[in-house]
Amino acid sequence: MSDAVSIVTVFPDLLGTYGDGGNAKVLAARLKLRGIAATNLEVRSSDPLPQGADIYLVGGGEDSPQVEASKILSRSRALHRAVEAGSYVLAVCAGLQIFGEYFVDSEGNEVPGLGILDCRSVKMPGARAVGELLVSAELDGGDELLVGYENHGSSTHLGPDASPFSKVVAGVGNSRIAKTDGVRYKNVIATYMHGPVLARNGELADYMLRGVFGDLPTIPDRSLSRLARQLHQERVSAALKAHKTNLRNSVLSGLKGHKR
Amino acid sequence: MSDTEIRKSFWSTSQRLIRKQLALLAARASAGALRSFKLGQGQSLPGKIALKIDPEILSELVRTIDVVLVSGTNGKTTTTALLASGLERSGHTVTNVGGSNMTGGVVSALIDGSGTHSMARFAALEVDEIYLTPVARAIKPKAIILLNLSRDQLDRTQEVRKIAARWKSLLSELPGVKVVANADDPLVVFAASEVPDVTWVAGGISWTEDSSGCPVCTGRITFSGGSWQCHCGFQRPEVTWQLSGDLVVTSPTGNIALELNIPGSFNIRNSLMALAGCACVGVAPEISKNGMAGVVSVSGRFQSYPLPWADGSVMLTLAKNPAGWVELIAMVDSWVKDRAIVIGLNAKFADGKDPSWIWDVPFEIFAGHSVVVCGERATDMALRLRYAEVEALLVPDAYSAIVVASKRNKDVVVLANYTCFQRIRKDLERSGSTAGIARALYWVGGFLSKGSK
Repeated sequence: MSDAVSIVTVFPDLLGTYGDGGNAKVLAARLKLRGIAATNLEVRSSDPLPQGADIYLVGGGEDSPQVEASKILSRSRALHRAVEAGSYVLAVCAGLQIFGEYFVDSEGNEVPGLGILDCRSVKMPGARAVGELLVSAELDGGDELLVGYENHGSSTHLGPDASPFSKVVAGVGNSRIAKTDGVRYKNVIATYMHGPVLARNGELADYMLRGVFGDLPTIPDRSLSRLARQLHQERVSAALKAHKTNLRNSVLSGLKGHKR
Repeated sequence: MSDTEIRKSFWSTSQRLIRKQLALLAARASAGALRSFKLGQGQSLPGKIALKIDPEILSELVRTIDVVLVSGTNGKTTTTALLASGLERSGHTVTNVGGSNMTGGVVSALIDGSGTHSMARFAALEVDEIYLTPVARAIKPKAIILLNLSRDQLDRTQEVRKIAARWKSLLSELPGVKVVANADDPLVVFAASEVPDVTWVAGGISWTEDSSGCPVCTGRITFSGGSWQCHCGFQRPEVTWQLSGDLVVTSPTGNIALELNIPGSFNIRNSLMALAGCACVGVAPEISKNGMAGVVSVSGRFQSYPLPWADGSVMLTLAKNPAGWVELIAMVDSWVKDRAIVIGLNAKFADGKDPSWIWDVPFEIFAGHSVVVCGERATDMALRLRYAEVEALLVPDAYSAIVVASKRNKDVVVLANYTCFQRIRKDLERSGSTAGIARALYWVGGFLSKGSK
């Protein structure tokens, strides 16, 4: 492996629906701003995934492309090897579901996943989870507020060998009951947060980059860092505001039900 | 028939007539009231009122009108405007261009065209891609133009593939409908694949990221040399309408030279779709193209306004999803050198509440340039641009942003998504009264933009 940090975006043609391609752009830019070389490789589903990259990014996608991506990745086992070798992986939404034992397609059939994570995704009872998602995750020993946008119709249930990536503060995440979001295993971070998540949470981007590169110098472009923090704060406030509205509405509808 | 039966049927017929007249009366009165009290332009409410009084009014209204619907993710409004101008050459045409494109707006437009003194022969109606099913079911249009499908407002629509599937089942329950379909978009082809009377048009595709998964077999579609195919045999159909030169259209009846007065190569494609749509209701392209030449701006799109506070102009452009942006980017690239650029981003219901699609737009093309960013999600856009090495000055208020930009260059181009665009347009159209404030802002703005450098 050369000195440059290598970042691979997995199948943007199948798993690139919700702007998650931005995660690679953010990682590469945050390295470049610090004077560290980075290579950004987008690998389409017709091409083989390269081995030995530092970071693999797997994004969200629609139902049938998700099934197709899972088939290809199960056959090639490229991500299995990457995870065993200690590469960092960020898997978002459909990406999270693919990493589990199975997920459901649009007809409700169970589709086998990669089986790397001990979790299963099934059709979520009630409405689709759409909206701001605010979580608290432990990064480098401290709790960090992270915020994203979720849009999924499945809930993900964790087995005994999986630990959740974060606790949900506002929004749905894995399921309405579990109050957790995502899965963490080895250097895999799986989450329901779009946004893209690394654009909204520079801290999470740097956490992954530190894992690969070691200690990072601060970004000399202070106005960019300030803007990134401003966006993070804006989205955190928006998530809390939405949470408050939802709570009020559910209390009100509860009261109405009681009267009847 | 017995006496009672006759009486019954007479009674039910008159009831229906009375209900229809009541619905029309109420709708017209409310439209008039809304307009005279300046409560909007009376676009959607009158239709809603009419529907409440007489739920069957849609099918009543279109009995004598040839209706052509236009749907798709991008280009609906412009294509509908071109279509309406083309049809107008052959008979009075009503349209909902610039109005609401959900059920209420469609009914309002048809009521406008159903008066005895303004009896319309045609209707050119744009319909939201999600509302196409209920609207088309009720109207039973003569023809439907299907433009394209790509990611847009995913918080509301979720999957474009599902829209394609819904279109397909809709078309199967509309016997005799003529469909004009964009052969370059696999999702549109999938939707129209089983229609007996379909006209395939080379409508163009600028964004293939949502259609590379085959809608038939879940395999992958490969695009090359202006065509596309999947290994399952699903492929681009033979077209009968296409461009054979810059502005030359090859049609089943011969070649036609187009004359267009709106910019953008995508609008040439839109006019191609509109020409084929006109032909479906018997208006030949040699006639309809003359009407299309008269379209210069559509509901503010590509419209230039003089700056109210200084010499110069501001041009408005709508950019609301990655496909739309990709179509515009070549044009913006030529503007970026000699105009100040303002980018506006909102995330209200009509925009879609999740603007993460901005990361799908290759803003890296503008690296090294500087733009002014506005709208309620200006911070998202500014950070996106900064990561693309584009300088971004954050001025959340849209009007102020234009003022600041005009200090950089007297000619300004605004690219904004839907509600941000509408807001700016409204401000500019009544800016006479705010010109004083604007002039003040202009000087403050100059100070600001110097200060930031």
